[in-house]
Amino acid sequence: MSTMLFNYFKLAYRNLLKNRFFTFLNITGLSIGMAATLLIFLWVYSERSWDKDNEKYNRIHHVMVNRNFNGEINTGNDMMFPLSAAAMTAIPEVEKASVTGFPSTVLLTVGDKKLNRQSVTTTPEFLDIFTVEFLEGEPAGLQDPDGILVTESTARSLFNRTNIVGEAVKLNNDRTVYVKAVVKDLARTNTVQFDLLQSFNPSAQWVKDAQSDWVNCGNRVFFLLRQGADKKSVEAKTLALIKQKTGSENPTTRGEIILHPMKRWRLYEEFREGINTGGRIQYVQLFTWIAIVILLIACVNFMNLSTARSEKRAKEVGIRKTLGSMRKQLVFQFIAESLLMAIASFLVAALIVWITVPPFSSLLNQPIRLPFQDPYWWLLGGGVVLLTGIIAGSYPAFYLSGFNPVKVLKGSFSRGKSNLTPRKVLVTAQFTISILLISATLLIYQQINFVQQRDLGYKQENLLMVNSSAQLDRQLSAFKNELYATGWVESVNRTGNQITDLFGYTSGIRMSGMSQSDNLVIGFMFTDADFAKTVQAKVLDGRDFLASDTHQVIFNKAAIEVMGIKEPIGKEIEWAGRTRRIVGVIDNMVINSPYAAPDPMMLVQGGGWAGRINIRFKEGVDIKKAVAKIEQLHNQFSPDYLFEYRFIDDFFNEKFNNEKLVGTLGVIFSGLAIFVCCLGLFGLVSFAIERRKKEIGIRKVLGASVQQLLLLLSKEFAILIALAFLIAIPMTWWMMNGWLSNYAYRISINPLVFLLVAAAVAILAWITISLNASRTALKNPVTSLRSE
Amino acid sequence: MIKISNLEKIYRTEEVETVALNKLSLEVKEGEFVAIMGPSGCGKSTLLNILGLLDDPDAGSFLFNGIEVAGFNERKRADLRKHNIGFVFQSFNLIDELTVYENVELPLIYTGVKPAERKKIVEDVLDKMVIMHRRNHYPQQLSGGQQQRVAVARAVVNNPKLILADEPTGNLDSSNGNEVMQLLTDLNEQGTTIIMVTHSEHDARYSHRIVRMLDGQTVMENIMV
Repeated sequence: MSTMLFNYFKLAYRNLLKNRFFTFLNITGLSIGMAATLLIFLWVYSERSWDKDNEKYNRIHHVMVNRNFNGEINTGNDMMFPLSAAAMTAIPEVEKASVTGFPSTVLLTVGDKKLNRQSVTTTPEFLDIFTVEFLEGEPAGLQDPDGILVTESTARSLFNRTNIVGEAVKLNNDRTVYVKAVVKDLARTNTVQFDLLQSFNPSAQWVKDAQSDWVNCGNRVFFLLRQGADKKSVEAKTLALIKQKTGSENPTTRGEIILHPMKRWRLYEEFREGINTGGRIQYVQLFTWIAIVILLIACVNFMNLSTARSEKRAKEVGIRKTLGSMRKQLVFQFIAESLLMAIASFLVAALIVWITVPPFSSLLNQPIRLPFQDPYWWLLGGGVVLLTGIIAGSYPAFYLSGFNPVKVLKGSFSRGKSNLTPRKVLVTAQFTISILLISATLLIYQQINFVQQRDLGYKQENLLMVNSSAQLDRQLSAFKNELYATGWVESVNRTGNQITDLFGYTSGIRMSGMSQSDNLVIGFMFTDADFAKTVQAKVLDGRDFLASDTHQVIFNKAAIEVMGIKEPIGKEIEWAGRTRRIVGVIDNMVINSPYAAPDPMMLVQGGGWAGRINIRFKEGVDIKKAVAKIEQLHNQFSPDYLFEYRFIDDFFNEKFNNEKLVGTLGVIFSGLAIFVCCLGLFGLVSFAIERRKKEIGIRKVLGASVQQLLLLLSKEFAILIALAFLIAIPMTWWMMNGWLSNYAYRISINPLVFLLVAAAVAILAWITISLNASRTALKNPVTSLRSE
Repeated sequence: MIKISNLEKIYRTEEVETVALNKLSLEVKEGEFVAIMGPSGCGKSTLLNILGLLDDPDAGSFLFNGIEVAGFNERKRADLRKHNIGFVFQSFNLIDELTVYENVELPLIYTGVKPAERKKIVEDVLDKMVIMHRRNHYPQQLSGGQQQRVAVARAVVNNPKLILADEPTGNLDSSNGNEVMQLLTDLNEQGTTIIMVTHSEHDARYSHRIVRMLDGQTVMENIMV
């Protein structure tokens, strides 16, 4: 048996070597297909490995809540401060719970050294829940309100060493804290990230207040459940606890608690109407399928090319059968050939992957490792080879081994119409998929473009955002004067946070004479004078904020609509314990999601400050020079803080990252798919020319031009490609309509897209076919007709 | 009609240089029927290919109806060929996928004759060649003689001035062979110039003149009476 097997592979090797053109086409296609599959699998592997560094991976949950905002269910990741401590005593299934702030940037000062780092404020239980590796110090260090815990790289940046337990660090130029521990840097595949951990300071007034505040939610709460705890029951008990402690009704108590397990944080991060619908997983799955499809296209090439050159093998099959070979043995022989091809392709694919992992990694903006040490990975590689070999080899093996030896050897073998049909179906399927991928990619780009060009209700260009500080706040008017004195600045204004995100939402706006809807939730942002002027939002009614305003508010159009206020200017509302007068209505601004309808929004005059300073440049200003000047002014007025700035348009554009990534991956993989398709087409056309050599020669002698011959040869394929279009268009339409329905602000599918793709694919196919024009059969009819 | 002088054709492979035509000169007048004979490899087929504008000489002059065609490019040669020359091959070279009618029609499509006119011409020729009753058959369904009659029909359908025949009876039995030779003779009598390569002395006797070749040169000419 083993000599037989060896024999199969030896023969297969010779056959592949003999038909170099065929082998080259197949190995190119298969290795591209395999490389695409392997890259995608590496990506999936990396995505699935997120958070797995945590030893208690299976028991960690993020407490989330579904709240009804203006009739829509909104899933929030924020909870009230006292929940964690209460849950540990009241709910037995909760082994540990930690209230943890959202990450914020803090300024760390050691001597002359200043660094901005990401800080997370939390409770000591955090370290019982998440796995953190200690290099210096103890977890107990976090129990000291003046203690901090820093990562290795932060320690090195500050002190150039890691043995820094006990060292003092100034935090935000405000208070001095002491390093209690140094931990290993967190893997980038951790959802919860920090450079520095600090405890809530129990003597701070806001922490004292927060400990009994069951209404306002501004922190995250993580639960570590006991082994075997029932998630549903803990969710119910948590809600009951909140209701009992709150005493009154609010969107949280009327809502629903969801424990979002750690294993779903990375890939199932999206909630729609309160249901954890998916998220990144959809892209991961989509591209897994695309990779498999590319590999299948390559397999189909192998099938088509093998059967297309069947006449060449027919005689061999006939002789072997006459000499007593069983059909089964022939099947094995042909499968051995395709397996050998698959192995060779895998080696090439491995090389391609090895070369492309770094650029692929940077495209995805996450580290992709080659998991050589993981036996499953090798098993997967072997599986890909085996499957490819068998899938690609099966049809040709059964087709070729089925030849009737008598007919074949008598020379009366002629390819009947029967062997053309499956090949036609396969070619049509290949092109259908390629056309679908290309059209879908084009539509994704159209959608991104469309949204990027959306009228946002304000002007992002030439708008700079500078992080403010307590120091800068104190000298703001002097700073502003200096800015105006440069002559480059048109307007300056402050906001509590960057204007590309709306963080605060309230259900507490009250107004006399207005019917109170319980579920009326409106986003709010603190700001000061010249808001509309600076961001260039359109004032529809009333006016912008003035420097003399104190507690006035401005609403956007959407807010006025949901509140149902007639003639709002001059009317008063109650909010956060104060009466406030409405002085203006601005047009809607697209803030959070560029794809969604604008949120109702309230702009509130005032705020605790040290937010952001928005600077509107005049048209045509030399931005580089202007930023340098602003940096100089900043450092003059706020020497203890680092100058940090962003351009609003750049910042906003990050919202498109996901879609852009999908678009880029789409371009790459649909490009590969059509390339592999054309490779197959190229092979088929070559074989068609080979097979019809005599006919082509005769036609040539009779006066056919090269163009006429190409037309003759491409007619058959043109029909198949046209058919592929007819199938692909409705499929793409249906699929992309589904995708687009995720977005409130979206394109409608323009049939021109398909026309464009049709033209592109037709040209590509025509080029592929024409490349064969260089083949001798088309050039010199004498050789093909020579009868001597 | 044809005047070639000092024609040379050399085939080169990596190691061997084969002289197929060695300063060959030949003249064929309009209305002549010339047979070319000689052993295998003497250059007959090369000569025929060059005469048929299928191949290019390496040196020498080739006047076709007084026009120098030796330097013609592919397109010009194809143009001249499809309007002036018909071919008859030893192995018929009919297209298996096309019917008798379609095979004969092909040259007319390539010379751009209108469909209605094509139908008339093709039917005329099929009639003349007594193959009309087989018009819807495929080549494999015909006997060798019938296939060659179709090939001749196809060669003459464009009404060419010159017919080049390469061993037209090589694959036929003697009675079918004679029939084809008679057909060629008839065409010649109607004014078509015919140049025929053959191994058969019998067939050669149908011609006016026999040109004998050896090693790429003409060695003897026999005028038939």
